[in-house]
Amino acid sequence: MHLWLYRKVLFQKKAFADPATFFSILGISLGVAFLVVSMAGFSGFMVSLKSSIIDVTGDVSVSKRGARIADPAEVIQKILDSSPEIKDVMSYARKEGMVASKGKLRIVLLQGIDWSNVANMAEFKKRQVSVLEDSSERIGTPALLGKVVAQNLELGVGDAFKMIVPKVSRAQATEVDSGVDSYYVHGILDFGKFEFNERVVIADLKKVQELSEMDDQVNGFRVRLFDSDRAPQVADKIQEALGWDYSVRDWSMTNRSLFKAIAYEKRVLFFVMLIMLVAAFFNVSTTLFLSVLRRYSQISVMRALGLKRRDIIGLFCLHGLALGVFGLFFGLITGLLFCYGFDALQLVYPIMPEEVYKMSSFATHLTLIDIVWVIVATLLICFISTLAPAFRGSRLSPVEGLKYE
Amino acid sequence: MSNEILATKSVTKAYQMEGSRLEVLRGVDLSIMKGEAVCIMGSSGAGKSTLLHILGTLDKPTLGKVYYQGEDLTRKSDDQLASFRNKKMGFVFQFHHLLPELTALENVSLPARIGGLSKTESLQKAANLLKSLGLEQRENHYPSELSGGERQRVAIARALVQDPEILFADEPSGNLDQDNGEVIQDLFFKLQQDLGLTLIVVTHDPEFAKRFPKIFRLKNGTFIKQ
Repeated sequence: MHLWLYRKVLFQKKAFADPATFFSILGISLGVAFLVVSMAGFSGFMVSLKSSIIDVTGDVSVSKRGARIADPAEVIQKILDSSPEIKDVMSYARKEGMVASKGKLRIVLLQGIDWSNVANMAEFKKRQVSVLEDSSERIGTPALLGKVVAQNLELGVGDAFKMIVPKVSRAQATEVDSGVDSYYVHGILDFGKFEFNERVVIADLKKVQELSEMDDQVNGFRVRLFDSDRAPQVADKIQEALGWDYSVRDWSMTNRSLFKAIAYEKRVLFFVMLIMLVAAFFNVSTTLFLSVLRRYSQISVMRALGLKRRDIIGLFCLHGLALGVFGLFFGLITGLLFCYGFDALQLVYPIMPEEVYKMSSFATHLTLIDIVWVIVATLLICFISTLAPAFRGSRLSPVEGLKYE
Repeated sequence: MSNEILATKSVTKAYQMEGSRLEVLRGVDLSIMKGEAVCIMGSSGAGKSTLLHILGTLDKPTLGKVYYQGEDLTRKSDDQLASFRNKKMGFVFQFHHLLPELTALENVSLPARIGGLSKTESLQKAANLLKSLGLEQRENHYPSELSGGERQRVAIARALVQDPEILFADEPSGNLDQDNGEVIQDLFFKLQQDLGLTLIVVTHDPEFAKRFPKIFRLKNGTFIKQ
């Protein structure tokens, strides 16, 4: 391969200033940019969905089938012993209940967790919409509300409300009593998922246990891992350690069909966008055909001087690939800018209808594997698109090109 | 062992044109000895350039054979012929056909680099050749910055850089004024004698042709007198 000849003859400023070349590169850049944005959009949607599920349920959630867990400490130890990949385990109590405030009622899912940890929990900190700075004068139990619960009940931070939970009457098993406690809004959270935002209220485990008369029993455990992607494997180990009395679910089991559908749609869109890119590469073919025709006499001379056919093919393939690499480079940059633009725009204008997509916003997320796919696919199509003009150039008769100046 | 370097046997070249067949060469036989200066003459369309291209392996005959020192060149592949041309043959065309993106020095070094010689060696060789042709001041000039005569001399230097055995020239002075044309013509004979080259020139200029000891005249695709 005569790289020096390519650099001297075809890789010229003049050649890149040519309108055909400019539009070829522009076409590839736009194609690559759209491909990047669509991949980043789908990955971002999946990552946001995943994190909103994990932040509420943990990487793995453990509960006992048909019963509460009376000996949480013992079970926690068993879980911790089952795998070194576990970061922490947190007990929770859960109870369906109602929030009453200003004459309004809403059914909610009251979750009790270790309150001393709540303030430091990164997943809740990043989801805070607003939080009470000073709770010294408040009476009652502090609670964190999903933002839709707060909206529906017109509750702001610091506001008091009543928490009502049903409980089976101790005197007569067929009757239902209710437990009522005074709560106040310590903070409002955006869980990132509509179902959580309109249902979840988080409070201290002890208080929830008291209100529900659960004694020291818990409903289950949220297990956090060092690597969320290892959840299915770790869940299997926990299941093995605890036996089949316990239900062990990893985050990917929740909304499994939705995740599958998104992954499938992402693949389909990749190929749809690739077709756009193929169209852009017709420009590259045309540009190279023009270049071959324009350089007919030069190709003839080089052939007369001893350049082989495969060298001519190499020169034009290299030129096509150079256009592809430039297009790819500008396309990746443009794609990233589009992603930043999309993320910034979402902060100002909510683009996604929350009721439809169950999420009000998501940040685009470009994975290394997506970038690798984009690069490989672009260069492969680019290479294929250069073949026809390159072979045409190599098959030109050297004689014809030498006849004229 | 004969001293024959290039020979043709019954070479015919025909083109298929809209149903009719146009025969440019009709059974041409010729034999050229090593170190000879040969001229191919003929009027326009007589087939002299086609014959030169076939002798120079740039084109293939429709029928017949071309031999280099007894070896049949028509059996070789395109890439084998490209290497063969690079090592054994030099070409000077009517139009200089220098690459406009390369300087005079780079243009001259081109065949050597295609042939696999290192950059330094090929540039050194090219510089020596340009110097011997009185163009040392023009090394770094681009073809557009050279006069017609200078361009043709650079093209001659390019044809000589691989030390070829045979030098082909197709109307080498056809595009130059009389003075420059004569300089180029003189140069060909000097090089042929100094370097012991086999010189094969196509021209329709009778004055230039007169200077050759051996002339092939083509008419309607065949030789009329040798």
